[in-house]
Amino acid sequence: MKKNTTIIKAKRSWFDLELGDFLKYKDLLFLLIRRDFVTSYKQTILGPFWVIAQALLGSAIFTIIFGKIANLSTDGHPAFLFYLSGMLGWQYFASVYCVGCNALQSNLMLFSKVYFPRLIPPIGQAIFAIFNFLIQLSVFFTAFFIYQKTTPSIIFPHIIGVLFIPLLLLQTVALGLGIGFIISALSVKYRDLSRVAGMATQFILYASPVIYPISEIPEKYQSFMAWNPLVFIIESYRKILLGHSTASTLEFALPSVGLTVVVFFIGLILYNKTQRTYVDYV
Amino acid sequence: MAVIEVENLSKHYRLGSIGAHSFLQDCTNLGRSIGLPFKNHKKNNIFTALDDVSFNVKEGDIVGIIGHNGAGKSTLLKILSRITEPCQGNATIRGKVSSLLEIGTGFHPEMTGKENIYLSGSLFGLKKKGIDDCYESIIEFAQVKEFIDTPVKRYSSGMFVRLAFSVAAHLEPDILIIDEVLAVGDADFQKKCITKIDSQTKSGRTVLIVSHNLSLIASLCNKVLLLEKGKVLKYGETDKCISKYLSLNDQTQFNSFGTNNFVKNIKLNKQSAAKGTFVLKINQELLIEFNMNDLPHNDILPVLSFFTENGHMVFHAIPQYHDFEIFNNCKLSLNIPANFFNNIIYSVRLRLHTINRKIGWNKDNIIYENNCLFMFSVIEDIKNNKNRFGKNDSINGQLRPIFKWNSIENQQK
Repeated sequence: MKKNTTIIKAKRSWFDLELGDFLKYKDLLFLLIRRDFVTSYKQTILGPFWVIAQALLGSAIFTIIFGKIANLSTDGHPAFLFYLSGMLGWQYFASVYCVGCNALQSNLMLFSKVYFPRLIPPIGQAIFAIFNFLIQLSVFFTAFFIYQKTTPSIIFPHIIGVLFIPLLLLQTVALGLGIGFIISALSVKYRDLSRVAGMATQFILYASPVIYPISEIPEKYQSFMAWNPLVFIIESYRKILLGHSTASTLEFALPSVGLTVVVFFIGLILYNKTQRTYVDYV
Repeated sequence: MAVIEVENLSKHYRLGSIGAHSFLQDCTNLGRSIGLPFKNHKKNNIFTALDDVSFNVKEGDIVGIIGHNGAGKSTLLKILSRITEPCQGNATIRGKVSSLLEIGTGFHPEMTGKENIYLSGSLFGLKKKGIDDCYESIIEFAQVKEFIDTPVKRYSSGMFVRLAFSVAAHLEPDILIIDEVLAVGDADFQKKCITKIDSQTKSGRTVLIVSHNLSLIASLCNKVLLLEKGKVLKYGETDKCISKYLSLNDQTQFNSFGTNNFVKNIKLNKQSAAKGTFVLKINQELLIEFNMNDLPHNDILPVLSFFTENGHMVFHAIPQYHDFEIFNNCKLSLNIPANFFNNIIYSVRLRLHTINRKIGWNKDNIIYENNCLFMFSVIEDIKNNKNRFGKNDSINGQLRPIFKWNSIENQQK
């Protein structure tokens, strides 16, 4: 009986993250991912096809507007593939960021009725979002090989590179949840910030090299851009999938990973501190 | 050994709305905490939901938590279920806890019954294997076998509640925390829940239950925690706590008009009713006595009316015709036989009517009314009452008089 002793006390440390409980509830994590699976495509005819359509349509629009009309550089890559690869990193970040921003708010019904480690729902949703990422990735590969048929000069870079994708995903989860958690925690009491969160998505999109390559930025500003962690992530996908990019270097990697770690821990601690008394404020 | 130890638990809430003003306060609080010379706010906008609450629960205890709305019952349960954190104090809980603050927590309407069983079970901390083991029994208890692969949004509300409760009933924790969940569902369902909880308590489980249903508390619990304005008013024997709680009602719900001095010295079985609410054993007579003084009229008819806790009229006790003349300035007594009431709670109203012998009495000529002259709780030793013929759960009805049954000679002889 003693093995299950729970101590409830006031004023716990900010760093008490309740990670011990996390393992006890790992079955819950899988069931929540399964729930997201089951419920997101219920009563749709095309199901996951919509993810494919969204990726194709998004890239097509970018190709027409930014490639053809605005004539932005695509770093020598075919425009359609350039945007597809940019969207890959961006979309996953955007969905994880969105999960983080609503982590407390969207789980109110559960959080106010039963205790379980509060990190489980957002982490489950972030894992679920990988499913959409994989669909997008297969769209990219299909498009890539169709391009290759028509223009044989395009060669797929080394297959080893693909093995780094999980690392990029991990960094994206840490970054997206980190920023999201900070916003979610701070907007519990004052909801103003949740308004900002939506606008911020647009801003981050244009501050990141999704629709333009980093090589287009004047060189003296490039080291400044390195402090946007997404620059390294998105350019790395291009390096892995298209062969070359400017920002997938150590000078970009260090600030990007360093900042991600810092943001993630700040987010984690704030989120954890806030969830303890969250239900008192809503 | 104490499985739950609560020490000096307090919880405060800030009153008022959250907006620009409270943001300013937060900023000055923050400023003061890092040493800036801001003025301290007056703490008059703090609401104390729990104030220095301490108690111990032993293994196998079934503790009822009672108190008025806002007494802090739900806050206490929320803290013990780790949904929110106390502001001061601590609590130690030894054993696996399941808290049912709601029926159907985590159920998703789009998912099938089976998927929901697993999801809800794991939310309460069960492992997948543990749910596998009791899966069949959950379905059987809920009686939804043929619908188990149908999304629960197509369930009737009865089926939904049965399934949800069934999951909750199979959690098998060491400590079970229940908040008012029994208040939902129809009478049949409530009965089923109570039987289930009763069987759980027999297996040595510790239970904390919040309810306004005092007769449920009286029949289920061996201890009661009485909270009032965030403080523990009394903790201990069920009867004494319930009677203390009811005596609070007397003061707070006191509602009368006319001069109070008309009626004095109310005694129940020779004890003063002013002391607190009376607890009557089911096989005990009830003797009600009171004095009537300084009445402005000579022809007065006193009527005692008995209501259930929910306000349903049970009966009027009206004096016999021939003796009403003697009622002025005298001591009255009324005797109600044993084995007449059910084991529930009654409140008693006294009205004094003036009588016109030609017209009779009606509502227009009430000179005194006390809507809660006293309340009393009828308790019963359910296990040893032979008149129940072994029935362990509640017997419906506002009264349960025992009449004399006679066996008449077999006529076919």
